[in-house]
Amino acid sequence: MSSSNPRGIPPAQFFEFKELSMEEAQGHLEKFQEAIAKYKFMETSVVRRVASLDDKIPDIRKTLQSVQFLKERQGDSFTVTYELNDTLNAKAEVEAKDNVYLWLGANVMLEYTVEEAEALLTQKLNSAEETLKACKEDLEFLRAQVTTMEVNTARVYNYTVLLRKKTKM
Amino acid sequence: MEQVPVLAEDQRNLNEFSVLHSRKAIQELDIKNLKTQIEDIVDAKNECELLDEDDGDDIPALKVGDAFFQVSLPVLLDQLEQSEESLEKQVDVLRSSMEKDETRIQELKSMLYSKFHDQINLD
Repeated sequence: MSSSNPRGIPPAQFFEFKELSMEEAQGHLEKFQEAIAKYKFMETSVVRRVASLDDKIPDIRKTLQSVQFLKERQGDSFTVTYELNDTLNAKAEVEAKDNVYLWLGANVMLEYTVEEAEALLTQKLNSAEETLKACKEDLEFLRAQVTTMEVNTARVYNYTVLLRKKTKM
Repeated sequence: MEQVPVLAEDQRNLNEFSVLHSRKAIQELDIKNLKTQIEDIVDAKNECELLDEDDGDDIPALKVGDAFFQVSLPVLLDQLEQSEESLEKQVDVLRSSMEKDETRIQELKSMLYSKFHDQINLD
């Protein structure tokens, strides 16, 4: 039927019906619930990654905007108000020069030309957006698998209802 | 009443419907957010249109990234214009994607309801 998605999430199998005893049906229902729980767990993990990217992408985009703005206005000077702390702003005179410094984390800041910085940030942004897109694909795939398992559950459960009725007759 | 048997093909249609339905809700939210941003920019442009270039101290600062740059009025208006155009493009992309999905959603609804009738609810 279906295959794993590009990140190797296993597909949910559509349950093909045959005669079942009540015991067999109960066994299948338990397996379906286990499968749903696993998919939900994976979903939680992917949602967390999406939230992280949703934080990171705007930061990269803002930094890229700043670099592009300075690049477009080489040689100009500006009075800039920036955040020194959460509740404190400061003014500075900034001249749009050829070079900028990018904070790379781990107490490292590197000097780049504006062209290099723009290229680096653009690549980082594109990469993060590709990852976000893949995560969204994973979420859609996971949703489809949960749907399959929920329908499997409903069908087998309805079957047990019929079995119980027959037993009473 | 008799239960209509669910086939693998029905399951695939149901899955596709479920995914498209969720995607639609997310995209509607995204469009709403973008429109709010566009409204803010239009308001800002309207405010700036009332200014003269000579109102040096009264020209608002332009937000670039996380900082606010004091720029001339023409630069400010130009940046606002660019931002608005960029956001409008994003809205257009989302809208056309939603329109394509909507066609498929209606096809799937039609197929599923014609088979399952009131045993299923797709709204």
